[in-house]
Amino acid sequence: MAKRLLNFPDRTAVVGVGYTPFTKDSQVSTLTLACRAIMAALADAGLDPSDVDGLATHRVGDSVAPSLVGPALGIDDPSWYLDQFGGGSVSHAVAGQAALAVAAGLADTVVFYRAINARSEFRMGQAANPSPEVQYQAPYGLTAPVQHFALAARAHMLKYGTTEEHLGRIAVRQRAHAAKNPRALMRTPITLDDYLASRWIAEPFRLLDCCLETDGACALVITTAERARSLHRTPVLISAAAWGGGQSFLSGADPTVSAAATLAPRLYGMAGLTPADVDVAQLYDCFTYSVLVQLEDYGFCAKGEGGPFAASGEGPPVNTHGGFLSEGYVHGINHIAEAVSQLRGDAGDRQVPGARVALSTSQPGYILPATSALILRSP
Amino acid sequence: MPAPTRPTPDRDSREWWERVALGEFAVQECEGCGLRRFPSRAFCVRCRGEGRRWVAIRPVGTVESWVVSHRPFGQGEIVVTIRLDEVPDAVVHGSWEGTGEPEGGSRARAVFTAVDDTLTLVGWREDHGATGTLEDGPLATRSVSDVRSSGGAG
Ligand SMILES: [Zn+2]
Repeated sequence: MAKRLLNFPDRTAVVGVGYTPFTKDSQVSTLTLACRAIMAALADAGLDPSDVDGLATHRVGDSVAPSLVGPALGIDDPSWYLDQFGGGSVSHAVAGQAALAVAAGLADTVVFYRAINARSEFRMGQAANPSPEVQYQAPYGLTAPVQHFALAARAHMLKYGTTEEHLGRIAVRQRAHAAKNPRALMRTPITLDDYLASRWIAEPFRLLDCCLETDGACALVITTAERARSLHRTPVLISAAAWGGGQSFLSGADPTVSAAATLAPRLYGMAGLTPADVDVAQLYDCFTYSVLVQLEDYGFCAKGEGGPFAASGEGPPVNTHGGFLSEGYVHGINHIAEAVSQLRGDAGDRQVPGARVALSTSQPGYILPATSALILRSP
Repeated sequence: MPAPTRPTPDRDSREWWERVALGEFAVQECEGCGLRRFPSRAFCVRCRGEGRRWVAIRPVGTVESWVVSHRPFGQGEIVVTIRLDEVPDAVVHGSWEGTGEPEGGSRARAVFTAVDDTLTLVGWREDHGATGTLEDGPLATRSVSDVRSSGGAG
């Protein structure tokens, strides 16, 4: 275990969460989405744009920078901002860096937002991709994240006997969660037969293995734990944030091991917690397989046992909002928002009783060779 | 079969593509410690040296995984992940040009396909016990029309 840092864990808190509706066509710009989500998050926190002195986002050429969003809301001179290149693997790193800026005193109140018209304007994989690895893949038609994850899932099946039913159980369970979530795009329950009957996208993945590319935005307000105590929402403390880990997929790393395997000890060590302490887990689910491999790599079951473990529903409740598979895909930030909701105890019909510790994670390193994650807890 | 997306070689990879166009599957070998690496790049990950030479290797390996792409990503084409015998730390992706679906752990060897005068791509097919030495003769270089007539990559 990494040594416990003294100046970061529990020094900051998420004090507000905001969403736009999740749709298949927002009919508005990503700037509008971002502003609406930020205003909703500030209203939730009982704050005003004039209280904000930091802005953070991540994007892959598909959204708007803090330098555009800030002035649009009258935040003309943020003392700290971050405009990180990257997709799902960096979402929790952005939250972590926002917390770091607050903990260090560079900013007092930071808003992290992510706004995308991922269905109607920018389909994933179409944005500019600077990776030199593309030249060795695109000529053969290997271009989309779904194909990369499918390769990893197949390797896991070959090595450990993981089955399509294991993957299907993940999709079925998350849909059942989404049925209790008014925000979710897909709320009609599905069965394993529905899963098996859904059409192939990239074998071994079917349609119901895949997330819902979504138009929507989400924002989080992060401030000091001290200030959080004077605000009207129950603060949710950021106990640990970690980013990094992993190896390039093309470099020959074992595709059945994700970047989370190297990141997890650092994350748990920072929080002084273990997997057994996690009451609810929001695991990045661009595809069903990413949930399965993270159950292993975040230590909820042994390597290779993720299939039966996921199918059985053992361990903490996972993706209680329905995840990207059923709620909608806002690239990671909506997992953090759901974790916050669970720890505040305001998750309604899908509330996990007594949830006090949540794990929330990013894309586990199959596209860019890194991931990121947070451990949050109620005070 | 739609025209493939053309690769955009960079300053690290240009020579690799040039050698592929000549029917050679080459990787870089570190002059300091001898570690072979793919894809091509400036630094050795083990000794961090920049010195390297190109070496032709037997283009054979083991099928580690594959994906069958359907719309909107394809029409049944198969892309395989191959772990190279001579560079066990590296995998390479390419079109599957074998019979039927591959099998996990089965042996495969490279198939060079000249798309046009300036582009050659590397696909893979079953390796029926061939040793895969360079002395097996010229690596099969098939024209695009051969690929089409054989059903190609589907
Ligand atoms: Zn070396």
